[in-house]
Amino acid sequence: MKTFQGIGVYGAIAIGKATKYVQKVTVRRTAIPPNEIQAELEKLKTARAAACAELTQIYQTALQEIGQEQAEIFEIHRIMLEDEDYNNAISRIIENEGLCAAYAVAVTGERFAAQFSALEDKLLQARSADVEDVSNRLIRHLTAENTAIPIGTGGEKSILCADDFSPSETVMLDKNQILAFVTVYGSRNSHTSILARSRNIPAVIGVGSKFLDSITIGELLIVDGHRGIVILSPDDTTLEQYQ
Amino acid sequence: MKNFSYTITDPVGVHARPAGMLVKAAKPFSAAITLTCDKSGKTANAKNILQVMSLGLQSGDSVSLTIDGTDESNAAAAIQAFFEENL
Repeated sequence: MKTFQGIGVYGAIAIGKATKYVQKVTVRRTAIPPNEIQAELEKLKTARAAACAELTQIYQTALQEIGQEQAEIFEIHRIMLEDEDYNNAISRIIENEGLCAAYAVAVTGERFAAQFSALEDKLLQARSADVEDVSNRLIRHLTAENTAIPIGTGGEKSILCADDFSPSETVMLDKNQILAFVTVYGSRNSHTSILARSRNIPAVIGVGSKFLDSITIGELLIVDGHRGIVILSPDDTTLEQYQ
Repeated sequence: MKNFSYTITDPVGVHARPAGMLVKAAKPFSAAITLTCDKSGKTANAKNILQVMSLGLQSGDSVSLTIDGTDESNAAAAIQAFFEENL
């Protein structure tokens, strides 16, 4: 039995089996020959349109599930996606350095995210996660990689464990399949926390990087959203206390 | 050219939501709309959300608006109204 301390996001208890989610978007620094640059720019345009459409859809879902005020972050994501500076920076890398769109987006996303992380204002600092979310979405459409969140172990509801969830992933979590979630990173101010609270999903965030290495798939967990702790393979006494 | 200043009264300042709303309000106009944070001297194009957010405008901060273009009168009125209603 092991206990990890984090921040409780929603004051409820969940007991269930652990599943892992690893968010990976692989980007390669691929060179584009001069006569293919135009095509690469077109590819970017198409991907952006698809990402925009997707965001509009997520916004609609969020509107129904959690209301206007919380859903608006996806409108913000859409506006960010269409931002002139962001897109000019991406195009410049494609044209001037002859590199592929996915790489250009990744680098540009990181740059803008870093700018926000460096700001003093805590709320603005948290926006770097939004810039990353937007960039990852665009990259997924460019690389045609479909990172659907892996759910439950054979129809049984489970507790999803991950490094972190982007705001849009938090909205799309299927409450029919997920009992609760635990993340390595995260702050109380992040949109992920706010969305988890709005959706009444028990969650503990910020448990630290050792957590994912410590759990095995299918292991029994207790997620205590009140105290902000996660208990791995609880002994019988502890389990009884919680049931 | 139109100018006006405004002091932010919203306790949270110009975070993501109002920044997005400002961009939406500014985009329909052809006039160039520039914000200057009086404290730092940093400027931002009101139609670029990332620039607006980077200003990090907080409650009590004074911001100057410069509006220049054919529809500047309408734009100035709309943007001023936006600030008064939302920030």
